Amino acid sequence: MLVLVIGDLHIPHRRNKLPNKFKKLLVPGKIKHILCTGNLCNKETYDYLKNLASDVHVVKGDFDENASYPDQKVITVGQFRIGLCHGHQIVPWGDIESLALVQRQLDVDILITGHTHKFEAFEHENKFYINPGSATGAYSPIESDAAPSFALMDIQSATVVTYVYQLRGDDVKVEKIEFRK
Amino acid sequence: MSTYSTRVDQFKKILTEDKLDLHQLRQLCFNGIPDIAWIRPLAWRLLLGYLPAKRSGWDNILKAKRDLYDSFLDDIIINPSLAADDENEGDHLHDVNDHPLSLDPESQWVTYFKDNEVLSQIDKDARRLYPDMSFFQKATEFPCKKKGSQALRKRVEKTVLLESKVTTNRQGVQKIKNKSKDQEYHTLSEGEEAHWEVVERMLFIYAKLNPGIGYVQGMNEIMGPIYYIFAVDSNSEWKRFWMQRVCQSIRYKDSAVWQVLEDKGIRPEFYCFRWFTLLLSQEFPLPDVIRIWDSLFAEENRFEFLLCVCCAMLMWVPPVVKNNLIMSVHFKKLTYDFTDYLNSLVRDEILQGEFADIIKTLQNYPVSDVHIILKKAAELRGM
Repeated sequence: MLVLVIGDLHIPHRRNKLPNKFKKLLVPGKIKHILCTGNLCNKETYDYLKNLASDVHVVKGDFDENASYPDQKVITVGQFRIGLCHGHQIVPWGDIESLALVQRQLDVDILITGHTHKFEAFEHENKFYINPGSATGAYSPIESDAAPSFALMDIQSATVVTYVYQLRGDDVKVEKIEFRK
Repeated sequence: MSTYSTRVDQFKKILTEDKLDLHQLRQLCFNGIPDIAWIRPLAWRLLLGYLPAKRSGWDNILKAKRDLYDSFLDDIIINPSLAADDENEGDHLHDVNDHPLSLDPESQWVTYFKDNEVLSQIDKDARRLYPDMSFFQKATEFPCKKKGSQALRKRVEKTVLLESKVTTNRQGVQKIKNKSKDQEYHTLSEGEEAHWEVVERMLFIYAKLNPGIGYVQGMNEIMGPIYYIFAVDSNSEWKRFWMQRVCQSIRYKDSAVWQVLEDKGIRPEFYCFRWFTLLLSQEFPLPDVIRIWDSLFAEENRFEFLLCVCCAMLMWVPPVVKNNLIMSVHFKKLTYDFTDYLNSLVRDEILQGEFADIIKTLQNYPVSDVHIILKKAAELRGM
């Protein structure tokens, strides 16, 4: 099952659109579910995601227009519990110990956070952490020239293969990492 | 009753011989096959040419065909995520060649998504196969137990992930609120497979093996009765693999339909198109369909005979309806295309009614006695 992990688009405040290379890759009919870490920020961007896959889960970022998104969510995919949170609430931002704290609070196998605009995917104490970075490469106070990136999880029964899409110059670079429960 | 039991004895005698007399079997079957569990499945297999006349070679042929189907399953149903698993290069980031969003036409994922398009069509039709019967919704005794096989239906199903919201109250206590679990309708437990899923898999394999034909709506209706007959076979070791034969019969059908249309230079006709392509499976209730197919399969010139049956259906519209029908110009024109002899038979009759009525009747053929129709058809064939 393919689950797209995307966030921090900051449209229209910091970027006007998703990079064309990404738009070409993201077509309806392939992805079944989307997990979004927030900061879309407007409704049009949400509609765009909804158009890619009908099942979209969003949490609230610090710039989102829609105030009704929840702060944190726990989503169950097969055997995995996935925690979703924008990440500006977790200080210090992107700190591994603070993230591990949230992971324990929510009791999840995979924790997805955003906000730092820096892609990350790693295993820590047998739990998996993903930060999809910013899909538009928008600037942030801690990452001034962020490369656009998003992640795609292929979830099988007890394994998650995460594909990472990063825009480097004009090329999309794809890498993958595997996590077994 | 005595004639019935003699017929049953005749069948038993023929089917238990070492070298079967196909010609004699054809003649017997043409008049219907008795409803005894093992006779019809075996007879159909012989008539369709799935099994040769010599009994001694059956075991080997069956095994070969089953192995072939198994290898089709392995080769054709691709699962790119499993292929990726095999590399298993550890838990650090590394480069990949193939990925789900790949635009490269040779990518496995691209093929996977293309297959899904065909599959979603097949899925829709397979799910509603013979909705009046519970049979196709029940679990089969022989689910596909391939390693890592993923149910085909899951590939195209629309699902929603279960989510729960996390709230914090004023004391800072976090609560994870579970949304009430959606009451999905589960009939089968994990690892079980409904009969319609088996049909779906066969249709999918057929579509992949014959890219020229692909999947055409209605194939499922042909598959249905054949599958039903073979699956209710009392001799259980037969059950799993017969799809090869069905493939061939559908191809037979396709070329025949093609031929018919070509000869007459007509586009899909209002009603007879459906009669031909679905081998009448939609016009009658299942027991009648099976009876008609007994005769169809028994006939060497199957599709000639199908033509005759259709003609007979036209000529023997049940009396109640007939009174209301007119032989309008349209009607004449449609039937004209059929066959010459038909024309000569119907031409004399002047009926009163409108084009719309006639079409309506023909498209929704009234319940009638199939035996009379088949008898008429046999007469037509003899002419």
